[in-house]
Amino acid sequence: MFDPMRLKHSLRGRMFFAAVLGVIPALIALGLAGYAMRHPGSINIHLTQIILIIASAAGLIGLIASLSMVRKTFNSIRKYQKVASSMAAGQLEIDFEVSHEEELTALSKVLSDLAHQTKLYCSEIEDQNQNLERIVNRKTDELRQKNLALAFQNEKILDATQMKSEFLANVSHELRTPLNAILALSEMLHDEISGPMNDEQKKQAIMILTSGENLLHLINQVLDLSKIEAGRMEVNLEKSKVVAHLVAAANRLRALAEEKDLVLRIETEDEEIELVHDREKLRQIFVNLIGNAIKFTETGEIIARIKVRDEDKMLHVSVQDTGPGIPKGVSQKIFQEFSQLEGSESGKNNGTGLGLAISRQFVQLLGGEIWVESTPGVGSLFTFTVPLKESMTPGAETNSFSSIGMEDPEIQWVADPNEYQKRILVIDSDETEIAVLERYLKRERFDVVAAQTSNDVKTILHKMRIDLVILEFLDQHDTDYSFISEVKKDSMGSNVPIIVNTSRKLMPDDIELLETKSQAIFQKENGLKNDLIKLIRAVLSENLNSGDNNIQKNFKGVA
Amino acid sequence: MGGRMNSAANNNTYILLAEDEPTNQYVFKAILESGGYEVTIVGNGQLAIEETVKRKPNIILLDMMMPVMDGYKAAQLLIQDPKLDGVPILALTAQAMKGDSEKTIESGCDDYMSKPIRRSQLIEKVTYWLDKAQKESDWMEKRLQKRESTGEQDAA
Repeated sequence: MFDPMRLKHSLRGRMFFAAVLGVIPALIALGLAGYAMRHPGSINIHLTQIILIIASAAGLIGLIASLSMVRKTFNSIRKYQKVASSMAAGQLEIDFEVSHEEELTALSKVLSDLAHQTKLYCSEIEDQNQNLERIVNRKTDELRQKNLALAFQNEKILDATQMKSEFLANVSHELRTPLNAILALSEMLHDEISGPMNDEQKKQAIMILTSGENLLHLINQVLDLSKIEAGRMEVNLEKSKVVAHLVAAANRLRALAEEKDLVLRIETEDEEIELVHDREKLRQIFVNLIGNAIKFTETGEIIARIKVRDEDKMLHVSVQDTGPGIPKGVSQKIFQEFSQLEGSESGKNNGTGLGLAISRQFVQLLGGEIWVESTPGVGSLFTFTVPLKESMTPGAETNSFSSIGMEDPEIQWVADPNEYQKRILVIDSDETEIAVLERYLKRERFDVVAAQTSNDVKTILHKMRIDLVILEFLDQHDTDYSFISEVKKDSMGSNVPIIVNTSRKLMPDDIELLETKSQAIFQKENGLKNDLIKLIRAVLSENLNSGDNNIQKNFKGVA
Repeated sequence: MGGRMNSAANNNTYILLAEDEPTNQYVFKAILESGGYEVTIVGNGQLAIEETVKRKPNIILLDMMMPVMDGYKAAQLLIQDPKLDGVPILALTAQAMKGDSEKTIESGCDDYMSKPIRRSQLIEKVTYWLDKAQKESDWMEKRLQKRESTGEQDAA
């Protein structure tokens, strides 16, 4: 629709205006010029000139108008371009004067819409972001809560494990205490310690004793299993003739086998070999297997084989029987707790069903495997293998506390990480003196190494760290003095304090000489070991603090 | 296993036993007396220490779990008494947990036995330690005499 007002505001309008201003008068002039040329004399030349001038002027005006119009349009477009650029740069708040050109108005509307839409999208994204953040926060909180709950549970479990351990300790004590009386007294009754017994009474006493022993065995099994489950079962490694130990244990079961007219054969070539292993656990496993074989076999033989295999560094033990065998499908289950082969053939089932379960746990604890191969009606073959430990690294695991036998106790101290144990070298020609000293020093938690002659001393000094030497001062002056000098000169011995231990009454000369060479002199009076201990501690702490080896003290035990 | 065990060394050998449980008191006393030893029983570590002041035993047996003062504490205190030098201390333990045996030795005991204790084991251990203690004190005596005699020589 033609709208004169809109003419001003539209490109087309302007173009039209330009045309009117310039082109049309030019055309009119040209027309007149043409007419004048075709009909000469009809028009005044001056008039023609005037018309030409007017036409040119009009044309010029028209050109200028056009140019101006184009410029304006160009500027508007430039403005829009700037706006678009700034929109692209992120500036969405557009605030500019909308151009008056109708065509560009549309463009500005487009840009405006674009800006608006983009703003909408942006805020939508913002919203989404905030939403996500909220969700993340919520999830994080939930996680934190769960973690707290888990930590709490963990504490409870640790507490429970602790309680289990304490329970084990208490229960063990409680269960074992009454057994003490049962076993010891029934034995005493049978042995007629408190008076004569008739045969029937003795028989009854033996039955009480046997029942008590069985009960003890069961209790031990249950406690073993509890210990394993509580993670409190430890492995005790020590070097010994493991195979011999196993053979001896097996031999003790021979009587049991013979009761049932079974032949028990033990085959091994490696009895004398010394190995590092937990021989008590190995024994338990071995005895369990043989015991089971005897229990479940009615006739025939039981063959136990022990082999030390060098090729794969394994101890290989197997127990074969001619029993009823184990039906397929059950062979795995028998290693589970409380499973018993309820054989109708073997009436007496006086076991807890824990033996094999414990055996398997032990084998696994030792890093090995246990399995069974069996043919029903023919027999079973139980085998377990354990890797051989290379060597016992000193202090790495709790060294076994071998129960003290009839020889002097071989006590191996657990290295205390906080306070390393001082090692004292005792040199004395008398065995008993050494034994006495050793006992007192060990009570005070000192590690003791003994030598009877001075020959071994240098070797010992070089083999291990010695913190103190207690040297018995004998009557041979020269030997002892020169010995002390030698020790001091030796690289390993120069910093080691020496306490001279003597019961001799020393001459002043002796004392003088000794004082220069040793840290202290201890004069033994009868049985005052406490003073010696005090002296030892004093010397050791001085040595530690001052590092000065020339401190002399002369201690006399007071009678 | 025959009847009573008797040895010359058992005469005048006096054993101090600390054990709180009455049945076990009876059991240990019966076993030790069957070995020909004289036995005094006390019910806790505190009483054990007091008893040693009254009379010096040849050997002390301590149950580790007792009220008032347990065996560990009692052992620690006993070994500090110079008059009890050379008197072996044997622990009677329930041996439940790892470290129990080390604990007894660390407290100052010379040896331990874990319950339930069989008669033969108890007699054997007691005999062994009594003999050992006897040997040591005999030897100390000799040294003392020797020193005194050389002392006289030196003085002369």
